[in-house]
Order: sequence, then structure tokens, then C-alpha cells
Amino acid sequence: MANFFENKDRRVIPNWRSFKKTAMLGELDVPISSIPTHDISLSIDSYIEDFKTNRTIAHAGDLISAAVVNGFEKDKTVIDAANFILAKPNETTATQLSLAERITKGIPDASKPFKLDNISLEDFSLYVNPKTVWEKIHLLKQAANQFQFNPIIWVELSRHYSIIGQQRQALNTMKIALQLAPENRFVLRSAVRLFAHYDDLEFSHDILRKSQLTNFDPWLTSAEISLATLRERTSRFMKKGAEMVSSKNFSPFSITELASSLGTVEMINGSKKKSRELFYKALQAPNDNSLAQVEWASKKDHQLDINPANFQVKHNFEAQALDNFNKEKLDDALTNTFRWFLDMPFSKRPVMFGSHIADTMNDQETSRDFLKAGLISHPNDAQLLNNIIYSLALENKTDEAMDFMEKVPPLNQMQKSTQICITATRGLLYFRTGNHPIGRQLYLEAIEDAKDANNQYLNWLAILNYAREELLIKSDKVQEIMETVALMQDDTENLDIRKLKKEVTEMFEKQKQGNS
Amino acid sequence: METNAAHNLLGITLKTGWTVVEKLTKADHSTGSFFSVCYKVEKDGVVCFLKAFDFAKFFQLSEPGKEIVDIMGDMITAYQYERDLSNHCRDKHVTKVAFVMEAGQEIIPNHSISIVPYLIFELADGDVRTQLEYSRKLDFAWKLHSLHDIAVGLKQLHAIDVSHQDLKPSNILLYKKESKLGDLGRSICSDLDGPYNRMPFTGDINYAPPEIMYNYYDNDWNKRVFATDCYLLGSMVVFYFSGISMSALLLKHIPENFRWERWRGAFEEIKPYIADGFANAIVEFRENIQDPYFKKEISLLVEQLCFPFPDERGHPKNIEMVGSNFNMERFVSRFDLLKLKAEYQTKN
Repeated sequence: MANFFENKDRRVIPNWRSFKKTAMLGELDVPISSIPTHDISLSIDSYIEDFKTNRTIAHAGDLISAAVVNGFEKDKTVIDAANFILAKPNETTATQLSLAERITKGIPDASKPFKLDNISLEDFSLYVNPKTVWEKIHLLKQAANQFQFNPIIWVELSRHYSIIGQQRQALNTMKIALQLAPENRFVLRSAVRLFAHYDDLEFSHDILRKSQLTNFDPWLTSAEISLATLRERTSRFMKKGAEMVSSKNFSPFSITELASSLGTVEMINGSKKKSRELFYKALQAPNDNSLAQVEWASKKDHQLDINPANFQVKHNFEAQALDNFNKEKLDDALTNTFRWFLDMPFSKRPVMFGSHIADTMNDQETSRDFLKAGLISHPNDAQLLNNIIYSLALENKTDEAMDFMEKVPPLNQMQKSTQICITATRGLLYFRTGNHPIGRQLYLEAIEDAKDANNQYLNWLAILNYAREELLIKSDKVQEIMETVALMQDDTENLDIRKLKKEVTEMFEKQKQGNS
Repeated sequence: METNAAHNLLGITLKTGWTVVEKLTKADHSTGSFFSVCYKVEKDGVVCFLKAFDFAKFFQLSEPGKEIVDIMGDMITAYQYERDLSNHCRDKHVTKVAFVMEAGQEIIPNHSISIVPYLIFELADGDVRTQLEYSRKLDFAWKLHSLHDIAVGLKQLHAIDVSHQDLKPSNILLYKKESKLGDLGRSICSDLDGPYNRMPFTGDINYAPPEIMYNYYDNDWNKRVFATDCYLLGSMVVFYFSGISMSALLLKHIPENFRWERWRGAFEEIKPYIADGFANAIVEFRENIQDPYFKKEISLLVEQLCFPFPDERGHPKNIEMVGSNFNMERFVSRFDLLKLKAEYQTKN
């Protein structure tokens, strides 16, 4: 039995992308809107005059340099100088050529679609390749060694280590970044995400509680409140955060995560009206994280009706995928989940969700592709291994499934829910290898365990999986188990339960008709 | 006929005995001063370069609404300051600077502002941009020779508490095989009360170090002005080998949102992002040099001279010693060694 995506609790923990992408998304901009920009009157007239009377590569280089420094790249003579350089590639340097090209072609526009927006599932093997991550790590290590002062390189190195599941290295390199830049938003948010990712919520929370910036920077205040909530504590920044959101000192974009974070706390506390107000505030200028949070919240509070597609938000793949899934647009959900995974390749959530959607679509191969991709960042993860084994067993690929079963860690090293799933999956494997009594015994054990754990979802899932196996072997237990199946509500919100129940019921009906 | 007096000196024999024989275009002189008109002058068979202060241009560049008398006063002050500072440097045995040979003022009748202050310099062969080529390997030794001259010039100025502040390609003047620092007009000296002494940065903003671009000024005068020169020397190295300025190279590697004119936060907050841009800029710079030894040594020089934060700029051994981060001595020695190695390679 597979334990797929449980969309129970979502908190506004910062998303973690490359520095370049995070900067382009505007999440590192200064949040306070009232500080004026520098006002220096500039002129490049003397450089223009010099180039006009001295058409040499050096004069052209001097002019384009001045233009780049002052933002005069669109000046006619500057473009002329850039073309002058481009026309003489053998007399120039690589740097001059590259700068000249940038002037003539223009700087990449942040408002244009990112590369991920155009990626489809067909590109899976192209983009999911640990070799490219290793190559990047090699380069980053060299750069970190040479430019030890640069905290951003250490953060990038940490992110890449986390993508390939090198936990110790990821944590160590992040600690170096924290030492170099203990009061920088990008470093702090990346660190918070990493330590939370490895379940060290206490350390993650401490980083923010000790930072001076958390008092002033809504991007950090938001993360602190979310972490406190995850730790089931009351944040001492709640009041401060509420003041930030209600003040007019911050741009709507800079408080979007904070508003959604506060909205989540209010929702947990049962103040639906307040939470809605905050979520709507978050939607004034959402980012992908706040949008996904509101999309998640809309499942809990049906008066929060949003369509993520109506918001011009970059990289909103998570919200789109959840919305697609809720609307049962499974192809779109799968594509957006793949993009979400590529955007956040260290994260298990898109992996679980992608395999879940693919399984719902009976596409076991794609389901396993997601799960195997997840093993890159989470090697030997019991939940992922379980789901791969389950998927292989469903297709009667029992030898391959047994190979993966050998990698499963001992039961006492995993969460209760995963233990239940592993037990049921072992039951499935026994059924598919012909050892029905042991398979039956394991399924019944899983059903009981799920019941004892008060986990209705897993309990029903185990019952349905068990029923399917009994139906397939046409055993004398079918009638008994189908009576239990019949007691399950049809209107459950879990699509996979509904689908499996329908399949099992249809199998049962067919068998009954065949028998009669 | 030009209406400005400064434009009408051709053919005149000045009170100092110099005859104005040719008006120079930008192509001929390139001093870097934008508010001047330049000529060739001759006396006793010696040809020199004359920089006439152009009131009209000065007026254009002055703050709007400023009184004409005040603008004239500013121009005279600028003229006197450049003259006095040049004399100060010459008297203190500085050798790698283009000095004022003679200074004077001429009355040109029939102009609204008839007074034209001028300075006469030794005539240079041109500025460094007329000589720089990027494809010829032979130029390598020449470039290092020129950079060594510039470093020596800065060291000499610093030794008498003068900071050049306006080091850029157009202010590196060539005299046969020697390079000299031109245009002391924006320099500052702790011993002379000049018009720019209280300004955080007096040079060309196009070449300014990042701390100036991001509005961060160290209160310590010495630290601030010498850190600027240090960066400007590094920027010259970058220009000599990559063909663009350090500031342009740095901005190329900084996300658009963090450009100096868009950033609204404190310098402290943006430091990690500038550090990242700087690291990437050094990586790019390095690719312009083929020889592995020079690639390593020259990029290390740039890294130390142009480090984006003034506190960590300079030679590492100097940074450890309190108060001498920006001492040029060690850099002069390094350029000397590199110059000799490059010359040796060229000959063999």
C-alpha cells in the first residue's frame, strides 16, 4: 500500500531557490517602500565624444563600461560602440564581446516566462540527472575554495548537496554561510528551509529568533511565525507581524508571506474571519509560497475561493498543481508538479504529489519516475521505497520490487504511518508471489495498526488494497471484506480512496455477475 | 567664431610668452577634463599642451540657479587648486605625474567673460586608450610596465598625503615609454584646503568603487580616499586586460534589482550580493588572460585591489597591520616582478 501525498498541514516555510532566481523573483528587494533611491546626476557625454573622435576598441570599451554603470545602454552611440566591438572579434576580449552583446541584445527581462514554464514531462530524464548536480557541486567547491568570503556560494553549495541527499555536507556548508552573513535575508531564509527540511526545527527556529532582522524584515518574521506554529508554540513576533501587515510601510509583495503566515495561525485558532482577511491581504501581491498557502487554506475554508491561474505569479507551480488536482485536471496537475519538483528538487512534497497523481491516473511508470527522482535527495527514504515497491508489485514486477525491499530501513526507524504502509506493501508482495496466507496476515495487521493509530485514511486504503488482492485471487474472504468496503463513505475528499473503492466495487460486481 | 573666450586663443601669444599654435580636438589630447579647451603652444622651439578653463562649460556643469559670480569663483578655485597641487607634488619629488609647467590667465576682449585661466603641461603622446590593444601578446609586457608606472605614481602621491581619486584610462598619459598620471584636478590633499576635500568622492562616478555607488562613506578621511585609489588602480588593471572597467564588470554580475541606482537599502545589507557579483566578476576577468602564471597573479592583484568592501581591500599583509591597508609598496613590487617576468618572456 502506498502512502501518498497528505496535504494536511502546510506552513509558510520559505522556498529555496538559486540566488539568481530568488533575486529575479524580487524576494530579496528592500521591503520598505519609502527610502529614496540615490540621486546622482550622471553623464556619459565625454565618453561619447571621445568615442566619436577616437574609434578604437579601447575607447569603445570605455564608453560601454560607462553606459553599463549608468544605465545608458540604449543610447545610440553606445549601441554603435557595442556593434563596433562585435564587428572586430579578433581585436577584442571575451569580456568586451560579452558586454557588447548584452547591450545589443538586452538584459534578460524578469517579466518574461522562466525556463521552467515551458518544461513538460517528456523532459523528465533530461532534467532529472544527478550527474549534472555533481558537476555543479564540483564547480561550486572550486569557487567556494577560491572565494571563501562569498556566503552566496556556500548557500548554493549547500542547496546542491541537499539535492543529492548529502545531509552532513549541506548542513556544514550552510553553517559557513551563516557565519559569513548572519544578518542577510537570503542566507537566513535558505538556512531556515534547510534545517527545517532535515527536521531540525529547533535550530531553524533559533536562527530566526536570534536574528535582529526578524524584528524588521517581514520575510523573516513570517518564517519565524510559521516555525513557531510548526513547533506548536506561540510566536513572540505575532504582534509585531500583525503591525507590519496593517502598517503601510511595506510593499504588498513584501508582506505577502507574513500575511499568509498570520492567516494560517488564525485559521488554526479558529478565527476564520480574521484568517480570511489576512489571506486576502496576502493575495494583494502574492508570491508562489503565499499563493500555495491560500490554495491549501481554501481546502479548509470553502469560503476562500481562489483560482491560482488568475494571479500573475512566477513559479506558482505548487498552487497550480494543487488547484489542478482539486479540479481533477490530472494531466495539468502532473505537469505542474514536475515543474514544482524541478524548482525545488530537494523537496519530497512534489515527489509524493507527482507519484500520487500518476498513480491516480494508473500511470505506474511515471509514478515510479517521480519516486526514483525523490530517492536522489532522500536516499533510502522508507516512504519512497515503499511506494516504488507498491507500484512495481501492482505490475507484478516482483523481482525488482524485492530488490527495493532490501533497501528499506528497519521499521523502528520510520514514522508510524510508513510502518503501516510497509506492512501492507509486504502483504501485497506476498499476495503477488503466491503466498496468500502471509499476505492476508500482513494486510490485516496493517488495517488494525491504522485503526489503532486513528488514521482513517490509511485504514481505508489498507482495506481497499486488501480487498483488491482477495478479489484478484477470488478467495472466499471476498464477501466479508466487501461488506467492510461498503461501509465506507463515497463522498470522501480523498480522490485515491474514491477511485480505488470504485475499482474494487466494479471488480466485485463483475465477479458476482460471472458467478451468477 | 566661438563666443567663449576659451575657444578663441588660437594665434595669440600669451603674456607668459607661449604662442598658441593649434587647437586640439578630443582625438588629439584626451585629458579627461570636460570643462576645458585644449591647444598646442610653443615657446623657444618647445611644444606643450595648454588647458584653458572654459567658463561656458563650467557654467553648464554647475548647479542650476547658481550665481554667475559664484560659478566664476568656483572655476578660479579649481584652476588655482590644480596649479597649487601640481606644484606641491613637484616640490615633493613626485615623478610619475604630468605636472603643470606654467600657469597664467589671459584677457580676451569682447567676450562677456573675458578672463581665461590656463595651465600648460608637457605634451603627451596621448592617453592610454590610444595605445591599448587586446589581441597582441607583445603588449602584455608593455601593459604591466604601464601599470607599474601608475602604481609608482600612486605610491608617490600617497607618500605626500595626496589621493588622485580620478584614475581612469583617459587620465593615464603616455610619454614615449613612460606612463604618468594626468589631471590632478579632482585630487585631494590633506595639506591643501581644496574645493573637493569634504566630498566623499571627487572623481568620475563611472569608475567609482562600489561603496561610493551604494552611498557608503567611511568617516575616516584617509581610509576613504586611499581605499578609493586602491580600487581605481585595480580597475585600471581590469581595463588593461579585459577592456572594460571593474565597475561595469561588477554590475554585469549583480542582479538588476541590486544595481546601485535601484537599491534602497543599506550597504551592509547588500554586501553578500556584491561579494557574489565580485567573485563571478573575477572568474570572468581571469578568462581574458591565457598564460596560467599571469592569469593567477594578475587576477589575485585585482581581487586584492578591487575588493568591494574598503575594510578588506588591499594587500592581505597590510590589512593585518592596523592603518596601512592601502599601502602601495607591496603592489609596486608585485607589478615590478610581473613586468620583469613578462619582459623576459617577450625577449625569449
